[in-house]
Amino acid sequence: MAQAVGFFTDTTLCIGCKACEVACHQWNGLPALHGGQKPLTGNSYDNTGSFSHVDWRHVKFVEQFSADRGQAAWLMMSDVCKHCVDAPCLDVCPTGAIIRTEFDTVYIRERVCNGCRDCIAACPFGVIAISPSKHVAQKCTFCYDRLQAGRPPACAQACPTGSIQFGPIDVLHARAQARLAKLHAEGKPQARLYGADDSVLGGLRSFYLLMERPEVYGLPEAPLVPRRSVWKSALAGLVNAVLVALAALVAFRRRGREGQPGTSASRAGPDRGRLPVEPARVPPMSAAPDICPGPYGAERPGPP
Amino acid sequence: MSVPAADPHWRGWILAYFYLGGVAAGAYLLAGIAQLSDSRRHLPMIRTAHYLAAPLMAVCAGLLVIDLDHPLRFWHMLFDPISGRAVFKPWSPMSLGSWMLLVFGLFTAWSFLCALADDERLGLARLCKPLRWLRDTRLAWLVRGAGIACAFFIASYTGALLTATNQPVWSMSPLLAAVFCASSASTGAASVTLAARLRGDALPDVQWRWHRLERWLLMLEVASVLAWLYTIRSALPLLLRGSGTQLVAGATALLMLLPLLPEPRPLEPAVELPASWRAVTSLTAGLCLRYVVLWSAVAIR
Ligand code: SF4
Ligand code: SF4
Repeated sequence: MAQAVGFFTDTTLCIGCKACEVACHQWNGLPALHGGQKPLTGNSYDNTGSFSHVDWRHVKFVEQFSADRGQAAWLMMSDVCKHCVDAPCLDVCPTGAIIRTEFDTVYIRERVCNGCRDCIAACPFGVIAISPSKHVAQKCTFCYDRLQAGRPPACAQACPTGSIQFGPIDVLHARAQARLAKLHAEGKPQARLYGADDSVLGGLRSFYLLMERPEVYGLPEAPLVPRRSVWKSALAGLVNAVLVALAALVAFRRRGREGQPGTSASRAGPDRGRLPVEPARVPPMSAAPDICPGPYGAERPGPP
Repeated sequence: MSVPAADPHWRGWILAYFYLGGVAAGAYLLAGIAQLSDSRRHLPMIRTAHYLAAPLMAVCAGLLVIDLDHPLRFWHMLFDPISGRAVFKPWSPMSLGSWMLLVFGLFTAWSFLCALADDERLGLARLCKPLRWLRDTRLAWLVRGAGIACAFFIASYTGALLTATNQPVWSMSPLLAAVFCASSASTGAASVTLAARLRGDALPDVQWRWHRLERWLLMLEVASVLAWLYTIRSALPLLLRGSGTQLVAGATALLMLLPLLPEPRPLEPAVELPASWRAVTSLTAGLCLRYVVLWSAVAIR
């Protein structure tokens, strides 16, 4: 396996220029939605709105004001697929279309995907979308083609401020720790790393330095690993399966020699001692002189 | 509520699949247990269940294929088109479910053929002999047990599938599998009792037993739903803020509780059966329940 790589996104350096979005569109041949005529979202400078089948990067803008609006903070963050170590999308994908590459990134094989959308339900970051023209799931490929050619991903190369840093994951982790220590020393205790350790989905190959709680940036605090819920669900289902089976066994159980004509049990009936009424179309099974087993493993009248 | 996870747009086809697949599995598993306990007296009910399960599963397969964005690639659920190897991920409910659907489909088809052969329809009388032989071997009991286990899986795994996501509400509780298991069983029982009435060839006391079971299963369903609601209690205020959701949730609760009302006068088990509306209501409740569960992840956004 080639060296594991990643992105370290230092949000304190992002200026919201969207060069990363443009580079991603250009390199991957992704068209603009609505022919480029995008309506204003009304959300600061964010006109991308969310990830989509053609928007694999999304620069988020968070405007914060104090109560008297005397103070303002403008948080920006270039968001992308996190290429999670315990990737929920990869976990659940039933076709095996989502794979882990030799660079430890998460990649969708378009030829295999059948558009079941399970990955969309599983991804906690809302990264994946279905292409209405290709009918398959789409997301950031970590510029797999460029990695194979030994080149950095287009977005990281285009980022003019060094907010998106690309490199071997160990190097990035060390760099992030140093940057965090520097910010703390500068009196910014609110600075934190998101996804650098294994607490979020076993670690994110695209991790972040944030200046606020993750939710402020629209990131989930504690996303779930789907496979961990499966055994609990199985157990819960099993408990009810046992109860259903017991109920059915009790409801269907034969009492004594009940149902055999000529016996007192049959005359006593199943519940409160009433004689079962012989239905019109049921053959008088036990009345038949010759009994042979039917396909249901039951006894049914034999040939005359 | 701002939810970072995107909506998978599992709507009408999936709702129909969850429901019909549950009914088919519920009917099949109860028929299997009836076969194990008292197959002779329950024969008409068992046959009715088998006549229901196979066509429903065929419809379900169609629904699942239609729901794919790339329907012609439905077989990718089982085989990798590039390597040609089987894809089997037991930790992914959808992958495991795809294989189990195939196996369960075979079980229901076999039982369907057996029912036809037993009724000596469609010239299948000739099939009777090998089928009888198959049924009489010790292996048959094993096969029957496997069929029941498969049906239990199909009845519950859709709940596990929803839990194994990062969607709001669905992922909050592992009890969805238990809810769907109970609901599948109760709707399965209701569908068999209704269909058996139409066929009219089952002993009334046997039908009575199925009705009684249907009632017990509905109670289990209500208890499971209450337990599930408890586990997602933190989301309830948000979930129930819209009048539309309140209405649907209220209607579902009503439909579930109505069939549990006591009979106006004691019925005679041997000759009288509870009114059909009870079975129709619990069947409708099962559909509404799945709608509410599927819709909850959208309604909370
Ligand atoms: S961020 Fe979403 S799409 Fe990317 S690897 Fe993680 S789960 Fe998959
Ligand atoms: S939509 Fe495609 S990539 Fe996503 S889970 Fe289904 S098959 Fe896998």
